[in-house]
Amino acid sequence: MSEAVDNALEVRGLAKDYGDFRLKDMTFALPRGYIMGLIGPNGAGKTTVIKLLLNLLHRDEGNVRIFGLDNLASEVEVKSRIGFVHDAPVFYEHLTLRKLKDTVAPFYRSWDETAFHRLIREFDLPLGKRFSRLSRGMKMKFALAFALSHRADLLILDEPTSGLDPVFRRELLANLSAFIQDEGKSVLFSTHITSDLERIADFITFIHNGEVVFSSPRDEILEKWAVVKGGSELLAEKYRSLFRGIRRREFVVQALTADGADARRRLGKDTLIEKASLEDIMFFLTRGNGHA
Amino acid sequence: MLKLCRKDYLASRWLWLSVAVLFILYIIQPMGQTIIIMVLGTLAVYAAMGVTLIYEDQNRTEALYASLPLKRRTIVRGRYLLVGLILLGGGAVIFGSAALILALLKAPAYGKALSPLLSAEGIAGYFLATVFLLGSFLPLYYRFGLGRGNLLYFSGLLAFLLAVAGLERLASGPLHLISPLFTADFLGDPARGLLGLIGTAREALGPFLSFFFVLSLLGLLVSASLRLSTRFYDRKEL
Repeated sequence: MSEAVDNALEVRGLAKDYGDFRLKDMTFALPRGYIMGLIGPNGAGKTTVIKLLLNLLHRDEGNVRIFGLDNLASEVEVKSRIGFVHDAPVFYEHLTLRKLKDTVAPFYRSWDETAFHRLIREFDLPLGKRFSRLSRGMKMKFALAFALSHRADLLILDEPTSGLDPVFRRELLANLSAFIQDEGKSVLFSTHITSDLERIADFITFIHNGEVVFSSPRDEILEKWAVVKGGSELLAEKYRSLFRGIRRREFVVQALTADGADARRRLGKDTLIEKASLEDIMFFLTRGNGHA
Repeated sequence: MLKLCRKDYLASRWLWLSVAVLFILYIIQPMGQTIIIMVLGTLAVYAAMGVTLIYEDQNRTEALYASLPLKRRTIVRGRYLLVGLILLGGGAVIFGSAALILALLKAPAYGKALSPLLSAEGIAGYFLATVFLLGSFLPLYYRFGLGRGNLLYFSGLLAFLLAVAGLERLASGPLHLISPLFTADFLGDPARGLLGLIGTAREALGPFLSFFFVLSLLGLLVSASLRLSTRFYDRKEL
């Protein structure tokens, strides 16, 4: 996948050392026309990755190509094709939304005033109101309206649904789905709310402790990964290589496997094996003891 | 770069206006002294730039604008252009209001305090002082941020002033090298201090060369400051 020319985003060997936290050898690719979810627990390094993509942080190693262009060498061209939403929408709090638009829109050659006003109406945002007087949900909607108003080819969203009510989260996801209906548009969407991704993501990149644990198509993950439930026999040495995380509660043992079919073959029909949700995967990989 | 200035204008215009009004309210008082007016004028320009930086810092908008299709060096140049415009605007307010007060209010106290400002020395002094102060602050701002940058800047400035005063004491006292400079009437005499120094240089070099000299000095200060700021901001993690 990473060799394909038609990738919206390619990250190879990206590294960043903070001393107390290290992002190590990040490699993943997002093909054009798809949504990728970047998941991981808090502090996994999601925001660091996004800041490295936008050149807000300086990488120590690796490279990032967006639409085949190096994100540093072709910074202006690359950024003009990116719509972004930071984890906490930051704008001048004392300015009205109309004035804020005036401070950002001139930087984009492809700014679409009609699209902006359509989104403002759709999101029910009051242009004459100060930014400081908006709720968190409305602030996020406003940031999203910006990101969608300059015909961006790639949206990079850092935790856009965090702290939002379910109604708006669904609206936002619907907007993202509508965005990629236009061929060639792509979305990189970081979150720790995995249910959002199960609805819309085509690819999932899971990061933990600054490392990519996997980066694969969502359907493949949901098809292959499974949670095995049984007794203490699951703790036997012969099964250890099968599991990626194990939880033991009194007499019940639950374990995560990256190969549900193999687990079925080896453990037999009597063991309960269920498809793993993204939340199960995140939980076992970050909290499951006995990581194999 | 003008787009960046416009962004800062939209964010800070009312506070810039407040700074200008406060300055005019001060110089309209007939008890002003030239050197105090000059210092206040310079501080007003510093404050006008400061409110823009404070707004940016408070609202954490640095990352937002650095995410736009702009190079970091363009952002720094935009800020320097803005400072240049503030400096010109500040000059227009300071010299314009001084000229207007002199023309409209005939009290002799105004003439004594404001006339020295409205001279080639006054204008050169204003630009040299403001460019030096802002030009030495901005690299610290880009290297250390607003809080630590300001702290280091004012600590450095204070140390510099104390060192100058100490040297003057030493040279005019125990060493008997010069006659005392900072006497009681120093503040009240506009022909001395920075303006006096510029006046002496102007007489020695002639009007053309002294103009060229001031211009070169300003250019040197701005270029060194811009180079440092760009280097620091390029390395900054947002």
